[in-house]
Amino acid sequence: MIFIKKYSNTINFIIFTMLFSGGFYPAEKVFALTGREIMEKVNARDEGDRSKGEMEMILIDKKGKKRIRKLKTFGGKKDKDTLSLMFFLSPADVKNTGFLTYDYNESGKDDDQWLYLPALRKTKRIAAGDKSGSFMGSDLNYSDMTTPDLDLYDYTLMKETEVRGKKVWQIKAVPKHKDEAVKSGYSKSVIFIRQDNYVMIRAVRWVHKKRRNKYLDVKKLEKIDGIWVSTEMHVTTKTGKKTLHKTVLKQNNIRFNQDDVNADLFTVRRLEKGA
Amino acid sequence: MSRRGKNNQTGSTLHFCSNKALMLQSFFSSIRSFILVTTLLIWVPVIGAPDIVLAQETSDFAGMEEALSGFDEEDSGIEDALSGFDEEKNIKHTEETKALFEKEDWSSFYGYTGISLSYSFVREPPEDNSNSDWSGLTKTRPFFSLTWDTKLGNNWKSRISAKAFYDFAYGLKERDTFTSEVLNELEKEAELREVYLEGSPFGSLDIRLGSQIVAWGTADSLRVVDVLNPTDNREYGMTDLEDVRIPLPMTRLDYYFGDFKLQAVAIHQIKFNKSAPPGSDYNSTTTEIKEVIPESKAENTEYGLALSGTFSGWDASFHWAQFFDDEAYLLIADMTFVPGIGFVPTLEYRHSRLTMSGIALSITSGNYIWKAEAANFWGMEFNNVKEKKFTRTEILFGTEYSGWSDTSLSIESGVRHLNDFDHRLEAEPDYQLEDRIATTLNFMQDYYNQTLHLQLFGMMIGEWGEDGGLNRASLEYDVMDAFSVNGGVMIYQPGDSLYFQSLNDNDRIFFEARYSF
Repeated sequence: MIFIKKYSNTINFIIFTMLFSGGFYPAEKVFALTGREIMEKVNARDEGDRSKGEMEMILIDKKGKKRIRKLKTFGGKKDKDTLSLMFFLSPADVKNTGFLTYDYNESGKDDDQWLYLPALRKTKRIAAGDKSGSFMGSDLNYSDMTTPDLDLYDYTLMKETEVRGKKVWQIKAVPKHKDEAVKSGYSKSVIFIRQDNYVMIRAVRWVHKKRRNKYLDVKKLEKIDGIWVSTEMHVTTKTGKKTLHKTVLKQNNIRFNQDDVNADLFTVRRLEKGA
Repeated sequence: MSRRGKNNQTGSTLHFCSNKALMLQSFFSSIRSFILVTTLLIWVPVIGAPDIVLAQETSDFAGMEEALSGFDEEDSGIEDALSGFDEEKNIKHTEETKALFEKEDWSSFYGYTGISLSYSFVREPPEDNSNSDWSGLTKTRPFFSLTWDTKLGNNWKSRISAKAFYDFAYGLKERDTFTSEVLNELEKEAELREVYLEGSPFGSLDIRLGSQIVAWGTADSLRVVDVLNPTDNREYGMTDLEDVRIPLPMTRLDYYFGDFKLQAVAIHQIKFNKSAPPGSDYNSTTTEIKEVIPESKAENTEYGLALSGTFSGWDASFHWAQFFDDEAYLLIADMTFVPGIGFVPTLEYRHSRLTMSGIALSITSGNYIWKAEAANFWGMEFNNVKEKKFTRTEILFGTEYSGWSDTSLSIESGVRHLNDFDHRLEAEPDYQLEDRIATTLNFMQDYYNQTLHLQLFGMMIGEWGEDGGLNRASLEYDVMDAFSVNGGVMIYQPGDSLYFQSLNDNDRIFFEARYSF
């Protein structure tokens, strides 16, 4: 689902941005919008519906050794809930593995997640409480893949600046409670929202209780069917200036409003049928 | 880590540790060794790795408030962190990616190959060279598996898969000292596994015809309602989970309505669990006992029905099956008088025709998944009480905790109760207990962006492990995409069970290199 969201409309970006909701701080009074208001606009952006696409994850370790995962992804909406389905195409040892997620909009309600393991011929329900674990070995974790509760974060608009010639808001997001930091795996984040389209194009995240940062950088942003989609994003884990690991996420052939992407698709039945 | 696609779970499906030949039970506590070994296996790596569970949890709770309250002061450090973005050029993969994804074949071949080794470090070589040598290298087995999937239009597809191995370990020793059963069963094998055609002739109906696997239930290590496919028990606790279920020719219909699925299965061939052949390291008996296998004809067809519902936060299913018990009982078929010895029984393995009805449930709650299975089995037959058939009740509870990053800890415990127990069943050849309890503990943790995977698995039989158990620790490393190496150790706990006592000398280290394509 994570991936679905990402390509549906730079969902990752949205997700990250959504993680940062904010209160009212004196420093923000000089700006037209508060951090929270900006994040609400990010959240309200059209993310598209009934999407399908393909994703490539390139995992690069500190020695430069690469591992590549290729996935087919589908995304959709049911009322205010976000549904996603994805299948691994490669490498061969995870081929046909499927992952289905119901990401509920309702505050406090855990996601529903099912994993189909072809080796077991069995679908397993997955506990979705902790989201700090690595998603399939990448530099993203599960909290990066699901929509956060805006009310769980304080957002502070730090300043207006530019990234690659585009005006952006720089916002700091801090979880209000320690439980959320533990659960998401991040103690705080600084994100950069483009002012012309409310897309998050960069973020720095502080890994909870570790001297590590994760850098999310959108390298390619495209408008597809009227919806902004990050088609290439780099996520780098660093300690200080030293790179520990890096993930390159690429999305291809993204299409929205597909007739064959309907409610019947986001089911265990379809999950078990494979790509 | 629990989201990993490949099998990194128990390596074996454990069916309440039943054994066809040896069922004598008594009390000898192996609980201490089980707990000690399993606890040690789990907590030593945890304690020793500061990045892992304990460090995260203890430090998280101890210093969280300080960390959160210190953010304002850290703003000066934010600027340093913000300068850490790479300005490198895009990695050149886009064209390659597009080319791969745009090509969607109607036919695909995939599989794996590799070599599996095991070394028995307890057994001594036989003093007499005419006896089989199960010491040292007990497996040198290259293996190969190939699957061919085809898409036949929009609604139909097929699968043909096969697997083969050849074990050089016997040729490296005195091959002639091994029994023909051992060589036939363990030296080489080539078999078709799943061969089926499946499709959706109508909107809500799926049909699958052919040799296939149907896995029921929610438990991972123990099985209650998962009764349809027999299992490969030739090397107890050592078989990959991927290979442990044996496909059977079936007709399977799945009908979907709302949040429910109704499944009907007819099994057309009678096959039972694969057991270790006589004379092998996992079956020390020397004489082969005849097994009466019901003929695969219409009146012996096995049936299964399942109604399952998938809901927000929980899943539930009801199961019914009529089948031949994969576990045999021993029947004294004849008594022969041998002068000077007396009466000698002629034994046969028989399989009861059982009817099972049961339920399975899984519920999520935060970082936990709670699992339960319960079933009743009617029609159990035994040698010592022929005047009636018995009923057995099985209940299982389990939980899986995934609140630590890249970590999963699960425990399952089940009891098998023989109703209206008759104490004559405790005698040979039945060796039945009124209650048999099994408990498993499984710990898995991933490191280095899921390139290194640790698994610690423990199982004990009996309320306190008095009837034996096993402990298995393994470490798998993904050398590169689709190529991994896996090594570990298996230690059996004998307890008072003759079966586990017979396994006690089978402690071994193992290694596998696997390339998937």
